[in-house]
Amino acid sequence: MNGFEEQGSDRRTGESTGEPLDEQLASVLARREPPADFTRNVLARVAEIEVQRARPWWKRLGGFPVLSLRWVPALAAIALIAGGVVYQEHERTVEGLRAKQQLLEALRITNATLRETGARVAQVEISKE
Amino acid sequence: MAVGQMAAAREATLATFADAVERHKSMVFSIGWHFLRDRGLAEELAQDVFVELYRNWAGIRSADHLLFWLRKVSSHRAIDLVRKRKARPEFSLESATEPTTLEKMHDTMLKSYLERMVATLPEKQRIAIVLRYQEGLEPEEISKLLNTNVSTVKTHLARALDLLRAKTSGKLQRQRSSTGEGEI
Repeated sequence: MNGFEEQGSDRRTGESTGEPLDEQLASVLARREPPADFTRNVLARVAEIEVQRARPWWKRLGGFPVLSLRWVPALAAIALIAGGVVYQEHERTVEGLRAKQQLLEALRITNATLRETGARVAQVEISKE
Repeated sequence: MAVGQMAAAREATLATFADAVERHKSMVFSIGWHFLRDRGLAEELAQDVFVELYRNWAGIRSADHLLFWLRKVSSHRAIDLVRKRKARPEFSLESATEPTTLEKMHDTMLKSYLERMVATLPEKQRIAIVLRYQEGLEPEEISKLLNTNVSTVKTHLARALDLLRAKTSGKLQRQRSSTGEGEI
């Protein structure tokens, strides 16, 4: 991308129809200059972003001491607990799915039995007639 | 790309970006200032807008697009900031009293009064007025920036002007007659 030149669309005159209120508004709402160190402050913040970007991802984790040995037991405990929770969740899901399958099977059998019984009753009715 | 080339490209980007900040800082800062009427907040808002611009720098296609992007993001951020912080001034335009005789019609005082009146307008009306009079934008352009209908913008502008006119007409009349311009 090239540098952006000032173009005609940057109108900042504040339209005035000659009405006093229009004139006053255009004057009151004229652009103002920010503090003198504004650009420097923005560039300082941008430089921080660049520094962050240049750091490897593991160092961007807020300076978390990943390689420090004293964190290993704590991390292992967290991983174990998290693993346990995930496993429990998985077990519960599997259990739920199994129960659902059983329920569907029972419904299917009930439905078939009902249909069969209905047919037999109809047959008996016909034979009586 | 070699490391040296990358560094040179980054330096060029930073230089162009710095130039854009320098060129448009007063516009972005003023939208914040006129909308929030708080210098600190306006500066914070303007800085945030430019930092966001830097993050989206690759997506800026032209000078017009840059200007549109800055106005749009500044306006939306100003509205968001007011909603989050409830930074709207305590008193409302409806309840604001006409200036008393003690507040003699000095031009500076009138401007200050008008500034306060603008700051008490409802958010949508206020941003429409700021974009109209600070940036000299047409309702069509404002509607694109605010993602709204042109008719809605026109309504916002008309309502805001009616309110401001009602509150300032006496002052303006007196000011005109005192400067010998005759009655309005």
